[in-house]
Amino acid sequence: MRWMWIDRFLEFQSGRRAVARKNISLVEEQIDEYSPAYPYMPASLIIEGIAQTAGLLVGESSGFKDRVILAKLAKATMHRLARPGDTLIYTAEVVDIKRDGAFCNCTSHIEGELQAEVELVFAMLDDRFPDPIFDPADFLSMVRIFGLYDVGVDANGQPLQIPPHLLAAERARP
Amino acid sequence: MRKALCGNPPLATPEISPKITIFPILRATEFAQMPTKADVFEKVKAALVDALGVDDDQVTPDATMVGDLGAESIDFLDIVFRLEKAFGIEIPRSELFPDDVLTNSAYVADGKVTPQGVEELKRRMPFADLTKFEQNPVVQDFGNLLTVNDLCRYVESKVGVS
Amino acid sequence: MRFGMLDRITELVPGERIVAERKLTGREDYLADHFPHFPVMPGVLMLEAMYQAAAWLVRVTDDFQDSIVRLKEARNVKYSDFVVPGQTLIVSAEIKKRDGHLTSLTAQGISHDAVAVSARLVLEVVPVASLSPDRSMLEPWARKQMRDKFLKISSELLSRIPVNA
Repeated sequence: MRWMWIDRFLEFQSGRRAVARKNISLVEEQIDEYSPAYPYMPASLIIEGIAQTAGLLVGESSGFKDRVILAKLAKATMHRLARPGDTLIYTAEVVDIKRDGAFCNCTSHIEGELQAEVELVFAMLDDRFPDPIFDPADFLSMVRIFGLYDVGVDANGQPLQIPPHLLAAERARP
Repeated sequence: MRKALCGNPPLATPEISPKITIFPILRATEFAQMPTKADVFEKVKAALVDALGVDDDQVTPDATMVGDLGAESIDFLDIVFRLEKAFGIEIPRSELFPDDVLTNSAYVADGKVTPQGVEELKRRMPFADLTKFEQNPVVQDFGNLLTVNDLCRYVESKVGVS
Repeated sequence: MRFGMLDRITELVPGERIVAERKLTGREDYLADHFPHFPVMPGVLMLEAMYQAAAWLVRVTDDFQDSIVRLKEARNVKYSDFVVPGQTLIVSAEIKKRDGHLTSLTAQGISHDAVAVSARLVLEVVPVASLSPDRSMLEPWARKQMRDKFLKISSELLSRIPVNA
């Protein structure tokens, strides 16, 4: 099982807001036997998709130089169950980003109806931990696959630029 | 960023001098928008209830953030975000928690803050009541003694109260 | 169930509390992505482990009346430490309040003798008939599935309970 809980970015405004889509499918591992009479998507994985949407939004605002991790899930409220065949639209909005952490208000919608509300607090990993946690070239491939740079725009609405250190790592890949 | 407390001045009409009309209107809106101590307490309480998951009635002025309300270091970050948003202020970490004093060898000896260190803390934190801490200024205990009231007084110093 | 987060249940007092465990072996697929240079149990899986333990507690307390016991709310989920391969996360949950279909609990995950995660959870029993009248035909089978899953992870626990005549 890969650990990618969004399928694609629909919108990505640097430092402000990101919208991503997640399709739920009956074939996914986590659905199997989880709720036999009425298969549904585990809340924890909806929260993870939302955290990935918000975490990448926060990370990109520093050109992916900081290592952003989820430190606290302040509040998560789940409304209706999300089922195979449903498409979840995750929206993450930055409340603030500081040197040592960030706060995001996020939601999940199914066909325009609110499905979940989540408040997330991110922290930036300090020097006690190994650097980096992702291989830069692989990380760039992953965010490319998510379509971050296909839809990403900066504060002026201009296409988002890929950070030089990630491009360099990608070029250096054998 | 601190939001302007004054409202937008009305468009000056040609026959009235802008200086005379705008100034009294600014003064009036400034006072109308300045919170009272009770307003500050209510908003601080709401932020603490949301961030710490405690009940409304647990948030009393004398309650300690760490001991009574169970705040941990990640919670302080959460609380700071909420207070900044609620009051439209910026809370630099070093203003609320002058960690640098506690790690400065000039101010700490044998795990305790020296008298000069305590004076420096008092200077940096005029909103906090450090009398208890002063009696036994163990560095480890520092964070534990911060009360809801200290937090309210800090916010009051940033927004001004009527 | 491929998304089963618990290896075994070690303590269970119906209506009160549960303690269960999950060992992070290091062979889990998702560790390759989380994170490539720093494999650790994802925070949401620590949450899932606490939730699953709480759900078993509610199901046993209600004698498996409804197959769906979902996570309705999670509050103050704080992560204070990582769980690395080779370590075991011991999760516990305690019922604070029951109110109709809702159960409020406090939960914790301990790893190498330190609290790694803590949370307040609200679980909701959802009768399948309320979601889909047809599916209610599946409920007896679904309830049995859940009972069997429970038995699989609580065999050691049950062997310690004296059988009442």
